[in-house]
Amino acid sequence: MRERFVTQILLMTAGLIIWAAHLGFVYGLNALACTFDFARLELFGMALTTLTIGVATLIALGAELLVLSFAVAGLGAMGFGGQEQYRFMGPITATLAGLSAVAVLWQGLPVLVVPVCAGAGG
Amino acid sequence: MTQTESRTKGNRLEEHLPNSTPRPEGELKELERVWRPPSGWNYITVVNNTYIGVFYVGAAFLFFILAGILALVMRTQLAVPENDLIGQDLYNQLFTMHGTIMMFLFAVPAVEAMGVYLLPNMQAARDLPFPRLSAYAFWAYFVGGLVFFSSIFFGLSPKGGWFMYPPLTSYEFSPGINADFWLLGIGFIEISAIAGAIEIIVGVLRTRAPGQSLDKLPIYAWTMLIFAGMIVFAFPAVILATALLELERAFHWPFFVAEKGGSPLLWQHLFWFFGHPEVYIIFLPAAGFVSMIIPTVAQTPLVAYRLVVVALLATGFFSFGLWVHHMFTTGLPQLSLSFFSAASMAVSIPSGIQVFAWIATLAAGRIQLNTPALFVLGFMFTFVLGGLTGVMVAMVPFDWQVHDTYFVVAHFHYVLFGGMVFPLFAAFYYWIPTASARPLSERLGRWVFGLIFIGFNTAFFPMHITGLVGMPRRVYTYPAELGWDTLNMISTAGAFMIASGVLLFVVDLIRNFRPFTNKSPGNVWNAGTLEWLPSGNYQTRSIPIVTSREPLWDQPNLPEDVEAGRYFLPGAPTGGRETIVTSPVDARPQYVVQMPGPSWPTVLAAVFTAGCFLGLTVKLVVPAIISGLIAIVMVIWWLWETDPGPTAEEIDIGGGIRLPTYVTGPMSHSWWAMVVLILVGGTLFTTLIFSYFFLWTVNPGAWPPDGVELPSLGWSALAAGLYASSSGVIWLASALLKRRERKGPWWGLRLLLMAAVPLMAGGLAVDFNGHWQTGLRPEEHSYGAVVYTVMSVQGVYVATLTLMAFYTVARSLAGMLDGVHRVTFDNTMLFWHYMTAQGLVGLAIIHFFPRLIG
Repeated sequence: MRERFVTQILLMTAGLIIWAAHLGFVYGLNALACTFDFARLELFGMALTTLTIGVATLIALGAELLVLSFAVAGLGAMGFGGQEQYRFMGPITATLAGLSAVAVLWQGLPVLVVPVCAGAGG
Repeated sequence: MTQTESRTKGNRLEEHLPNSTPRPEGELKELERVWRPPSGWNYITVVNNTYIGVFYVGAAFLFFILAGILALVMRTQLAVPENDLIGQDLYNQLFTMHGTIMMFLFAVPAVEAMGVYLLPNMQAARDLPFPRLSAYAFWAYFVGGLVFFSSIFFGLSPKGGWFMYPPLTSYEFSPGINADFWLLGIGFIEISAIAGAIEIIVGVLRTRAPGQSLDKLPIYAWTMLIFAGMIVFAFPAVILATALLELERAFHWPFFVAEKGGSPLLWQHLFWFFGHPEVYIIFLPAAGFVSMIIPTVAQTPLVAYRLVVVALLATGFFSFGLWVHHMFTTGLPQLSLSFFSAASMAVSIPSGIQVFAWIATLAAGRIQLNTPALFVLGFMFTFVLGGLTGVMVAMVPFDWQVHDTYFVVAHFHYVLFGGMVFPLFAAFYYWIPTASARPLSERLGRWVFGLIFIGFNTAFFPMHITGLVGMPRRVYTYPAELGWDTLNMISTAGAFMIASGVLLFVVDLIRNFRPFTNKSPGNVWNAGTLEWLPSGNYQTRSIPIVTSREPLWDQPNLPEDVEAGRYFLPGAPTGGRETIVTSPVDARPQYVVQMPGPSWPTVLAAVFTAGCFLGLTVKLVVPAIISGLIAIVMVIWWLWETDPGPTAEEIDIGGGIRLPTYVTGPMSHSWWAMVVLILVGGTLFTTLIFSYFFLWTVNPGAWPPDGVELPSLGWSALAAGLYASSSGVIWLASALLKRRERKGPWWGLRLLLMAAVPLMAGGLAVDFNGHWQTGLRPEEHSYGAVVYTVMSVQGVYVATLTLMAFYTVARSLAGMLDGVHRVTFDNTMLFWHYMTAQGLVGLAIIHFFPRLIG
């Protein structure tokens, strides 16, 4: 069976990559919102930044669930290069996606209780 | 036989040993001759991992002792209030040097050194794939580290704390060269660490025993792979940070000066983007030691192997999302802090998974309470306590209360000493029988453990309370009436108890450690992994096929068959050093790599590289330049022999499998190393671009600042065109070279390479001229400083590639480069295309972004 090392490693760590992208996005957005003072913009009665972070969190969670189901359903066998490698990498992919989903949810929750730029020291 | 046929045959070979016995007369003698280390003065040039690894570990342990002595001086000073044993200035140097040496000269090098020693043994490779690179990394580190440490005897040590925050450490508040010792010394040592990481990544992925697929990889190899990957993505940030601060100190480029558009917070972001993963960079290999030792002391396989791999990968990633938790008191928005607080709590989950896997393994087996087991249990107790206080300081309000107090000192010592030093001592006692004619003493070992464990908790547990009652860290003395004296006296007593344990360990080493002999006490713990196979300077006599995670437990007669030469490559068919390169996932044999042996230029390159950095530190610029030039010549001399070409068409490694001795392109281990190096370069550039955007957020509405003009877009278009066309010429050279195959050296290649150099240099010159003509200067504002830094980094690549182009041409002139023998050209080509990509991205950001927001 042909090895596709880079594809296999990227698939296996897809959950973690989504987590990292989410953290980078929400932190970057919040920093820019406070620096350039667009945190006050509102949409549907909610701060636009809060809303965007919430939507980003939902999208990230959706992506995590997609990876999780991809790995669990066994559809990943093709991506992993065959049943032998899937038996090892599939469960790792699924567990990492599950763990990352918890981390994404955990780091998205503060937006519900903490105002966007509270306590910013400049 | 083709590659595909060899794979099929490799699978069948698990049932039939590939080589028959008795082996031909003289085969073993030839193997011994090829791998024998040099004698006399030439001994210093040895590159075998079993020698360099031991030197490396020994040097790291020496720095542990030296930094420990500094700690004892500090503890003596703090034992009683209002002590005047040492003054404030020396105390500042002591705590800075203690932290710096422990982190940069002990912890990271120690775990890297253990990897250099252990990995080839565990993977049954004859050596790591770039043995001279390991030797260079060691000598550069050792010479540079000793010079750095010596600065304390001349009052020249840095004194800004191990994280060297500006503005305290910039030119205004830290004149003199003390801070420069830190910046240039540590930047240099980090480069050495990156060299080691590249070696480890390629070594783990490409030089494993056939059959040792990723699911059978020893957990320690997984930890080292993730460790090295983390170095690749974390260390460039601190290298960039040290370069920026040095540019600020030397040339007044104001990256961190607030009144000129800089920000001290930029340093903190860059430093901690490295600094927090650094904690896990130290911890993961130590966790790897534990995951190897526990199954042996319990005599049962590790429980939940796959979950432990999950935990290692998750820890590696999550650790990059924690850096802001060192900046909770800097005034960042609370929501930003909350994201990092959440990530800081999330990282405790994978750590917990590992702890439960270890407990379950101990419960599943019958534990033998020997010295390694004691240190492992000591580690678990200590590290869990450190982890719990870690969760406490991850809570923003709690962190605000204990920030910069002794509570934090207690926390990170529980994590670092508990998480790394206890496992390291366990590893010493566990693996020394593989490196020495005698194991260490069990009786002394128990005393060593007792003294260190009790001493550690006596020293550091009270510091939680000292911190909670308000004692700040880094004070050189304190008034008597604050009530901190008893706690400090207890801590000091504990510190000396640790020292007595370490001293007893040294006594044990002197009595029993006898390295570099062919005698071995054997598999004294009845371990299951390959490093316990009978071995010599060539590692194992033959390279086994692996069918389980604990092959020594599951494959009967493996040691005897390996030693008799019944497995792969039982001799040295090319007449030189070689090992089998395998595929990265399934570990199928792909080719036999020819490896270089001992070399003086490698050692001299390291010494003169250190000399160059030292010269720059003490402002002896001309000697520094001469030293640097000599180092470059030595590197070229060393590299000249490392691309030997296909010396034989194919060789028989046993079982009818014939492998090539030379490959090019993505299958080549050299290609892999270059790709990892490019990842390092890409990370450094990404952190530089982060710095650019960060400084923009510090100067909203003034990017570029008033009075600064942007160069016309014509300049940037011309520069981009020149970079792209230089890459186009290299691409053309590659395509034409491929067509020529083995038709010998070719003048057209030389012409194309020489044409590409001025195109590339022209791109840089045009860009530089565009900015210079507008009147932009780097010392006036952070905008100019960061723009000129982007160009300077590009300039480093242009200079390096110019050298590589001339080197490639020289090899062509020497008849050592053609359509098949082309690894050198491929390396130059890959690096060239990366340079072009980086140049284009840099041009796009610097020329378009200000117009976009303006």
